[in-house]
Amino acid sequence: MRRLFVLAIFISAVLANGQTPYQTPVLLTTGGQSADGLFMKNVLTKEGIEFQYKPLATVADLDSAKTLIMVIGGSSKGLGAARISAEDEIARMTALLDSAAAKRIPVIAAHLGGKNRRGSLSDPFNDLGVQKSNHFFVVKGGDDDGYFKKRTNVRKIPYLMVDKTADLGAPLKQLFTKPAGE
Amino acid sequence: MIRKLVILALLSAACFISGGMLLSQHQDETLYPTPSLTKRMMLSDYFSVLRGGDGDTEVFEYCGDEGGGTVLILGGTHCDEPASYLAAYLLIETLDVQRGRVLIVPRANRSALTHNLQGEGHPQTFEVETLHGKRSFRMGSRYTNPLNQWPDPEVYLHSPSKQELSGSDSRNLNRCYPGRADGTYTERVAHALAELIKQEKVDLVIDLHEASPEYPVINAIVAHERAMDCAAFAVMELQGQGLEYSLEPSPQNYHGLSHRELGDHTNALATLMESANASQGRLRGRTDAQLVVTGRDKMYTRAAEIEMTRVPFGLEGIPLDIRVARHIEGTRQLVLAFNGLNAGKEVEFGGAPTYAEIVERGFGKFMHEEN
Ligand SMILES: [Zn+2]
Repeated sequence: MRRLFVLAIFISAVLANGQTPYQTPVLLTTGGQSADGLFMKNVLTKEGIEFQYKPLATVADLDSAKTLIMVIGGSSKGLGAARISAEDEIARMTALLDSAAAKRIPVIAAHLGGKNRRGSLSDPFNDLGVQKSNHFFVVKGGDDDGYFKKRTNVRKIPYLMVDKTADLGAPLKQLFTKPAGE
Repeated sequence: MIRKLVILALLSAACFISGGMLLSQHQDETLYPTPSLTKRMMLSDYFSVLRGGDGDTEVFEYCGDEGGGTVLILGGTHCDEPASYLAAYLLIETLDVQRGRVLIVPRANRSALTHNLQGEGHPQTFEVETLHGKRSFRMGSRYTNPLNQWPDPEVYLHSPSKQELSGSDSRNLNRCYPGRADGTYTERVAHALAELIKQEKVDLVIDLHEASPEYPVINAIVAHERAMDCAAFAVMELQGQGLEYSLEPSPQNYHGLSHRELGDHTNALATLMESANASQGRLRGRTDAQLVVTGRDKMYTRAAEIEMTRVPFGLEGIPLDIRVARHIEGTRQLVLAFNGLNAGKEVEFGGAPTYAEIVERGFGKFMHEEN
């Protein structure tokens, strides 16, 4: 919690400096091994945002990253394909998110898979992702019950709902661009 | 004496009628391909051992004027999943291919259409409204007819992985890939389909399926790792149209399935699509032809209320029209995504109705009996 607080101050400080905290290259990973990470990969490619896609990224992968994007939501097939248990995936996510906070690497969490990525399998990943991120995106259908809205409100982090994944292009691009003005 | 004769006559009549019903299940529905059809072939053209048997099945080829890639669409792998073969029938009767090639095998496991699954109470046939009146279609089974392959082993050993599966899965086409030339009936059908893919140099396979509303992989596209980028673009596009779709990777350690074995053993990108079919589910109530077509089921609506389904299931149900529409739109988006990633191998087709058109008018209204 304290680390997050420090990071929040850090982010407001750089924002005040007229510089975005969201720098490239991005480390793109998943939280729950769903294939939805590929949707984000498509968006980042299209927007020309430099990234590395590692569904099973570890703390070491953060060395070369300036922003972490985690696409959250679980997939039993995905966990099976990656041969990782739900518990180990939670542990991997926790280590990665805590390390990002310690290294002052801002975290964007995104939920892209709609209702299919909610429920008993997905929500532990969803909760962890939204609790330890600095910016949150959700595609319509994934937050009909206000699950994410409520959590982002409590944590006072930006929340944006878009109609479809492709609509994330513009707001993401903006995050990675220096604010205009001065 | 007279009483005995009457009983004998009644019994003979019953045998005659039920025999006729059983035989009628072996009669393929007539299909009316569009003029765009370039060749009508048989699966045995790729593996002659099948010739003339129940496993031999039609292959429809639609070739555009311009060269490009080749897409194979499989319907009727599981014949209690009617949207899978009806979507294939609809394409056969509406398709106009301008570029590249589309191959359609609407009854991939033809034997599975010749019987019903025991104990399911499924209807033998159901009817769909078309512009020419009602048209009747068979409802089949998940498995090859035991008349073609019997008995089941205690444990089915998949070849070549040696993975153990339940005995009845030896008659499940989607557990028999890549197949074996000297294997069981179902393995030979799988082998023939793999041969077709190799000989025709198929680039993209789309295997159409349905699943129970409570099955975890539903309203989904499952893809082999080489097909994931293509499938991801398609799913994003479908979601953008407001359709719930998820993208699932083919598990590496689950053998016999088309998206795993055809991806591993051929050069094709292997994908599979699932829609939600209440008549296949375990929680359903009354099972009849109505249920197959309307997809309405009180028990499922109740199950959805207590979150026991993986898809929303209101009183309006999930009708065959929506399931067929999803398969047609899913196919279109997979092909468009494939085109985007494979310049020079584009496959372009028109003719097939859009999702909205099918949902509004019903897919039957687009089927032709006078092409
Ligand atoms: Zn199936």
